[in-house]
Amino acid sequence: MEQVQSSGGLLGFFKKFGGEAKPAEPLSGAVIRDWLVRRLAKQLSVPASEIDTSASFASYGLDSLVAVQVSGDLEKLVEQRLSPALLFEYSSIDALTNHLVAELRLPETA
Amino acid sequence: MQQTLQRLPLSPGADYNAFMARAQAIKDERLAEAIPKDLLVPKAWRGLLGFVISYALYAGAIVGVAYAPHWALWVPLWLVAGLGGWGLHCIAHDCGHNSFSRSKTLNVVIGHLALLPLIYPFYAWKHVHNLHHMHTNSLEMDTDWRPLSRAVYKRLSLWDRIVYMGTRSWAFWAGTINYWVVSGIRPGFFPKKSMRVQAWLSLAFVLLVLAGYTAALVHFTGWTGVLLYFVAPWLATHAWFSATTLMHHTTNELPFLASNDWNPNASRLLLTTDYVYPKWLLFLTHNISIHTAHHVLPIVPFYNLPKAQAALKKAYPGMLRERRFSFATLWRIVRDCHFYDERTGYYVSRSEPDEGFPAGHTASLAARD
Repeated sequence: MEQVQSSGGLLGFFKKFGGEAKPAEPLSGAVIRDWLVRRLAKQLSVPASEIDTSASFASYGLDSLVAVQVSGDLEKLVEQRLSPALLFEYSSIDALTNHLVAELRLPETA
Repeated sequence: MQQTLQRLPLSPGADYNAFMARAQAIKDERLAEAIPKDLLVPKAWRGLLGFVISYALYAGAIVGVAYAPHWALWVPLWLVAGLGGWGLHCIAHDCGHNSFSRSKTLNVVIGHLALLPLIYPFYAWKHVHNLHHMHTNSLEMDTDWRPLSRAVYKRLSLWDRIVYMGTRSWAFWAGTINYWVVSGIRPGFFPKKSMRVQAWLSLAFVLLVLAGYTAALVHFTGWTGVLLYFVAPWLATHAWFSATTLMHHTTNELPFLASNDWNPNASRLLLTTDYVYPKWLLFLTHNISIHTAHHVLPIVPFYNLPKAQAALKKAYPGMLRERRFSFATLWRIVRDCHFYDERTGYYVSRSEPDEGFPAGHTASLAARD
């Protein structure tokens, strides 16, 4: 896959349309877990400290539409197409993070 | 939100088990080694010849519409223009796989020009097509013609149900227009930022050319000209595009595989149907119907696909699925292949009785694409 190198001029203009890139920090289990905690906290309008990473998504009342949105947003973080059924198959933040660490061969921490 | 997922299909029959036995048998094969390496070398002049022939067919048929002595000739001429536009897509297809030329610049330039009759942004098409290659006939991940179960279909909005069922029955010819809307003109579809930036660039190029071309057509021929010389050939090109891609991977004789059973080699060798075309059609569609060899090794240029396919058939006798093209086959697909059957793993027709399965594994697969 070709990478876009330059950021000036016309290309820079279009890079703005590309939206958020993944964080500068290298991808790891910790980054994914932290992202999921913040994403869920934002969805539920609660502080991140209240999110239990071992609790099931269902116990937070997430419906299938939100689950699909989260997996769609998660694609942008891991830069891979993901199954929209992911939050059904791995039903807590810990389970999902562990799966992605194994599947994408990521370190647990950066 | 359901928490436990059942393994799909729920009750596989003898056909599915026999298919999986073959899928397992080739799981660790190095399929690409069956294709001689000299077939990977592109001849840019041959690709350019295909590009010129298809553009000439497209433009010639449109000129034919302009000078046709009777309007009854318009439809056949649009279909010819569509064949030209579809042939150009097949050239862009090689560009997308870098098999048109060793020069990336030439691939990008020709790819963009060849997709103009479809107003398809080249990079968006290239990226979504690569996703199709990575996930062919995956129930969760394929980007092209991925079926939904009846339970999921029932949970769609009215509009999504009309689009889904329409493009799998009476409006099959517009199926690729739907994919164009979903991923072709929506750069946000792609997971990588570099992909999204490229998709925006291609989209800007397409819009710029479209604006200029439409203005010129309106100036010289009026809005009627836009319909006769651009919109109708665009629809006809999509009809070729839709019919061909639908037929490649859709049949009630081959399953779609859930992630528990999907494997890359099976997706490359066993899940495509190659349609035998008359020679003239094979020439004008740049061998697009010789499709299994293409899935095994996408870098093979289109003019080498017959030899690559022959080598593959020799190495894996009885594994490739070839059928003679007929409109009856196309008719059977749009009549019978509507839903993913969670029991069998194969397609089922909407006319089959509703077994009333819960949405289960595929519950969430509806909304994203």
